[in-house]
Amino acid sequence: MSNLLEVKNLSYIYGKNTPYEKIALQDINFTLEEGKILGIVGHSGCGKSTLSKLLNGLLKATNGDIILEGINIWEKPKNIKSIRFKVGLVFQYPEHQLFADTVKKDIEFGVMNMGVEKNQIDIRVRKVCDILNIPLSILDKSPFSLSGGEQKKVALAGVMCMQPKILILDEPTSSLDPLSRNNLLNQVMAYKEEFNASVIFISHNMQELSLICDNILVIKEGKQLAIDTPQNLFFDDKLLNESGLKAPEIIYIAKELKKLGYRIKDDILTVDDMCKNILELLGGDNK
Amino acid sequence: MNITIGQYYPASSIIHRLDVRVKIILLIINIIFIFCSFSIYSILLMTAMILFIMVISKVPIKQYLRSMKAIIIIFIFTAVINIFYGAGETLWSFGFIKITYDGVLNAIFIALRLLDLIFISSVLTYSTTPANITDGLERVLSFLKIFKVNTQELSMMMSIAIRFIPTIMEETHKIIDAQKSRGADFESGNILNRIKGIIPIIIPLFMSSIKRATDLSVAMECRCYNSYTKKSKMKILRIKLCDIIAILFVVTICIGVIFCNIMF
Ligand SMILES: Nc1ncnc2c1ncn2[C@@H]1O[C@H](COP(=O)(O)OP(=O)(O)OP(=O)(O)O)[C@@H](O)[C@H]1O
Ligand SMILES: [Mg+2]
Repeated sequence: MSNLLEVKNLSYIYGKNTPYEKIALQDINFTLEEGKILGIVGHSGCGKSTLSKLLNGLLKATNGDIILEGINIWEKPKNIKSIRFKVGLVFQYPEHQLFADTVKKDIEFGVMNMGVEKNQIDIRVRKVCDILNIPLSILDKSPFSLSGGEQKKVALAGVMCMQPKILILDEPTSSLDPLSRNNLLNQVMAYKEEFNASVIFISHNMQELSLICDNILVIKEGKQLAIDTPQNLFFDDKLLNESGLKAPEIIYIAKELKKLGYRIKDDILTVDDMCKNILELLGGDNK
Repeated sequence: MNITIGQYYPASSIIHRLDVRVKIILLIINIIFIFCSFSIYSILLMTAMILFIMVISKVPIKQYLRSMKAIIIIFIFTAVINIFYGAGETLWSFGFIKITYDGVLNAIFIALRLLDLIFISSVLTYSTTPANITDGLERVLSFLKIFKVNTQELSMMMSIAIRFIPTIMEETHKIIDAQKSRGADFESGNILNRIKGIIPIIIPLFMSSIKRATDLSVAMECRCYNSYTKKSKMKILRIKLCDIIAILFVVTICIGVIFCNIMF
């Protein structure tokens, strides 16, 4: 399968040649295939949001290339707007972008800028509301009357409406309760299936990343520590130590049991996996 | 978006170390004397002094030139207009356009005045943090107390306003990014489209500014802020030797300016 997105030796420096110079990213390399989900983790300030802005063409890399569908995104700077429609970015704080007098107009803003026909827009909005489970009754409300979580959803809907090939979500679950969090993960999966899109999911929560990601990119202080499948990352003690990140609790239980000599499989990620494994060890007797 | 005026530039120079009250008062004196320089020699003397101050401030000249960017058009316009406007000996003429010796002199004069004003103000803002400037202003303005002006409240308002400029700038950048990533276009199209393009930026900016102001006032109220009790200062300012030298230096130059005014 061909690579949808290819990132080569990407570096970014804020305020270059000023006393405030700050290296935000250094030598990042990864590829993303169609229909895959890539997770990005790292401590606060390690450069995750910067990376998302680079991919979306809001910032121009100090060094390195971003190649989308075989074409460097900065090859024709005039076309950068069309790149932004292909790589949809949902920001960390949705309150920064809501402005219209109704939710519907706000969701439509992106598609309108793409120049899609009016009746097509309506179809798209309805579809997105369906995926995200947004009740049609709030479409005529003011976006400022919504709760923080609902505003986040509206912002996400606005980007999904543009039907980007790559959907970048910057800490989308950080202010959601556990149930809404699970719902959101399912909705993102649903979007991915529906449009055969790829997703880049930035988060602090290893648990949720392990649930949906095919690969996880670990960044520390702007440098790339690793990119690997969740299983490989979580069982790599050295890497976990170095990055200062924590695997989901269940992984530590698996590790302890393994140390005690039990036959625990290598691909355990969730409580469900663990239960099945333990039941097997108990003799397959699951009453 | 690049607004460099009013940005602190960290460096260790004698100018950075001067007492902020002295800096503000000297700035005011300088501005008065820039306007009171009536002969070309006076303004040249002022310019020389200001260039000297800029050099010892250890802020790169490039930085100062950047603060010119905002007004470069006004600058060129005034200088050019003045060239054609003047009496005296004709240097060059073409039809009804004629350039005179006085006109050129006038243009140089005006250009130097503008340059001096911008550069000397930039020296203050580059060498002093905004917090120090408001602190200094409060002290310099404290004589207004005899007119029953509440200077404490005034300076609190000023320092809050200055404190939030970078925050709001940052927020504006974030909003612009968010709208750009949804395909908003602020750089092309006709005037009407551009004005329309501002709405998606202004509204979130107002919303968050109003929210921030409300939060801040509640937080201040919770901590029982009022502007009538006298507050002590965290930093006590003391006039040092370098302050006295700076004052003497500027006063000497000013006497020179008066001298040039009378002589030429
Ligand atoms: N506009 C800017 N100018 C200068 N430095 C910046 C700017 N934006 C971010 N930085 C710096 O770049 C670094 C990376 O910031 P970034 O926002 O990408 O972090 P992050 O990984 O998204 O953090 P978080 O998890 O808190 O969102 C930080 O150290 C930050 O201070
Ligand atoms: Mg971030």
